[in-house]
Amino acid sequence: MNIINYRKYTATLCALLLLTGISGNAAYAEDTIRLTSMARQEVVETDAAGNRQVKRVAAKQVVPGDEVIYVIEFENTGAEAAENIVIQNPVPGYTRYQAGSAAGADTDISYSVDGGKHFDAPQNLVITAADGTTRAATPADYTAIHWRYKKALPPGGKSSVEYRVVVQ
Amino acid sequence: MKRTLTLRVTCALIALVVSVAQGVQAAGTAAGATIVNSVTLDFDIAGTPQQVVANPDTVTVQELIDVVAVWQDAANVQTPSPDIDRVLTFLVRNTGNGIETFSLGIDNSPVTADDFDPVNPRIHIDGNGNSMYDGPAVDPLYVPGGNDPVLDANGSDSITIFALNDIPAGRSVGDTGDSRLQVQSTTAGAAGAAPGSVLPGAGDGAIDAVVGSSNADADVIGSYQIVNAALDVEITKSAQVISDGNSCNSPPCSPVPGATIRYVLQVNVTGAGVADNLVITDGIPANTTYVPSSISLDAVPQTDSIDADAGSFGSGIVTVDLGSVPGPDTRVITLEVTIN
Repeated sequence: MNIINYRKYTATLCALLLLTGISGNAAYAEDTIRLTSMARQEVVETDAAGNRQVKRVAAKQVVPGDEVIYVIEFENTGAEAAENIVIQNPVPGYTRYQAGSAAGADTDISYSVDGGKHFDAPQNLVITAADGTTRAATPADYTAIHWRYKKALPPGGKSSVEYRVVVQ
Repeated sequence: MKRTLTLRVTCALIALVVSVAQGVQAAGTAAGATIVNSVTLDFDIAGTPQQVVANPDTVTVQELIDVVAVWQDAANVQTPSPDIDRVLTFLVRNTGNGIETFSLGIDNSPVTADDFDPVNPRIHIDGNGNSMYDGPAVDPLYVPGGNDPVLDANGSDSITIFALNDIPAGRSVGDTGDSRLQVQSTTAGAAGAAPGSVLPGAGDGAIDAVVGSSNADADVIGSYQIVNAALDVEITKSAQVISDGNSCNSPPCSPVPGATIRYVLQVNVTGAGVADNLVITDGIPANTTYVPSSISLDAVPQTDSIDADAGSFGSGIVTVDLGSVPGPDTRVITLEVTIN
């Protein structure tokens, strides 16, 4: 294996992953968790009786100002339990994280304000300005979200986490 | 494992660079932009770390159609009555996120509690970007469907529009007249639709269009207010033969030699302000002779010498010095000559 060659093409591979959306799953030997991201929107529907009902639909007609809900499902499709499950999700470009929206059963949630280099609880996050002054981070500053699933996921086990963003 | 880690760190860095570049946005996210959610999940199977990456979840931002129009004049545009081609200035801005074409119109009907309706409305488009009306050669007349403004929410998102109206006669000082500029998206079905209405395939590049909170149209009122016209002086001259020097002693008499002609000069000072050093001169016509001491001002006889009164005569010219005359005012000068 030629390490130098490998490094040379890493950036190209990453660009391909980002631009063409080719799944990176094939790069790994084991593929025992199926991970799915689904963009959803809430719509209010009124039935014949006049009852208003909030429904989630696939996010299609998204314009600036709209809220998008990302639902991330994970399912153990392998034969052994999966442990130490950690999900990382950078807040997508063109969007802003909605305060208090990250959720997930049996998870500890932390956030990053530096693109995912460090994650911490909201009260520990600090923004440092160019002049060196600091301030407490607000949810609008979050650039990535981190869920630590506290349980083991048995074969066939399934769970999900979610968060919301506003399209800028 | 080491390779996997290297790949992941490098990808994270590239993703960071991409998100910074995306952060530079003047308006809302541009129509057609894609929002990509990239999730990774790390886990252990029997103590062996592994990672999966979710399908890139891509949402295309649709075209939001929104527009705002703002009257730009600082106050009511002052105008005499009547007048023509008085200009109101408006700014129209695409507040959506795409490239949108807008139609324009003017409605002067009495929707509001104004005193009069401006007439003969025309729209001109700022042709040189200076936000000032420079005449039709520079700022062309708007022709519906011909030169509808095309505004790019992510580029040249606004344009100055001029509404030209004529002002009817007979309006009193202080009266106001409103002129309403109407702007509509030309996307079929957009203008007037409820916010959130989806127009499939009607957006930029055949993405969907979504009507924004403006209902894809805008209308805004600009107002005129009548003030006194600018100061102006106008002289009208009339003549009557008041005697024929023989039997006729009341007009009209025949203009025969020896007949007396009375000239009446009506000096009208109109508008607001004061006409300073207003001096009226009138040469005696050929083949006539000035009748001494025949000058009168507002029916008050004037002497022919240059003295305390306003009138004088010399070198065949009648001169009346009216001094300062505040408008509006009318002064009447008479003088008489005889036909040689």
